[in-house]
Amino acid sequence: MATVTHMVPFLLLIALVVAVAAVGAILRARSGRTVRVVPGVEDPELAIGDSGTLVQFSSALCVACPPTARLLAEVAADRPTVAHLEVDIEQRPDLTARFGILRTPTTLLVDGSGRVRGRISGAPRRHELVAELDRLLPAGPISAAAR
Amino acid sequence: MSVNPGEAGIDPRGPRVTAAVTAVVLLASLSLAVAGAPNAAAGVLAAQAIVFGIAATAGIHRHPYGVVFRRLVRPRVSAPARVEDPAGPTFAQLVGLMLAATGVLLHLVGVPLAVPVAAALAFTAAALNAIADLCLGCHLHVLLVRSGLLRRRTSAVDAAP
Repeated sequence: MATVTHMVPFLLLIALVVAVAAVGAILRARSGRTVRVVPGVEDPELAIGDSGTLVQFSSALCVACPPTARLLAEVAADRPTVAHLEVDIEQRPDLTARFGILRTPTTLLVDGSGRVRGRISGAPRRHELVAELDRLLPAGPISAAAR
Repeated sequence: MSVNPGEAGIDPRGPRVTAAVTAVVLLASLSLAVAGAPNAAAGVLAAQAIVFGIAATAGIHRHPYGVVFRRLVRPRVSAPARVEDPAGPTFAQLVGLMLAATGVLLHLVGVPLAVPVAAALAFTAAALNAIADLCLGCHLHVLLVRSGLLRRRTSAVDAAP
């Protein structure tokens, strides 16, 4: 039994396990993180709040969507100039495609002009969401230049 | 439990533990294939196909591996924060069945790498479910329901605000 014949399949198996474990670990670690986005084109339809809008893309059969909606509504309620908008991906396939929504819930942090400044895939981690929200979408007419 | 879990919603952690066990079984099939025992590998894959079939027909909450979650994990954790519609995970078992059955059938016909390829695909889906909470079969289920090819089986969970 030549060792060479069995090495390649064995190495492929190891490579598969390592690749799957790595991808899984990365996706798991990134879930719920607030990722900063380079501001792009303005989308006025999403600009509901004066200083920003938390746009949540949801779907039916999405376990994490109702708790995420509650969290975002709560965070928006604490900030008079920030609104929460929930989008059903089945009712708005155009928006879903435009923003490349691959997973629900996906939350976009949209500024007052309608530009996407941040993105959260999966149920948001609250502390990070609040910190990034206050950093990316400073509320009020007096923006804190010191930030 | 006085309420049928299939109607009221299931603990979302159950299918993930089941997926972990499934991934180990599929890894065993892959290892046998790599070690030069293709028929044993096909046998393990066939056994896993039967398990997929039982869960696909009886529902994810009656999955044969569910005993691992109920006996080992559930007693050690608090009640779930939310419940999940079992339709998606149950459909995912059907996808697993189709993958595994195809692998075994192609092997019986003499296709050389049928078992390892099928096992590798199913392993990837099961492992990603266990590690990253990604249910690829559930996504497929949503796509098929949206395209009209499948009827959505609603449960009380869907009606919740």
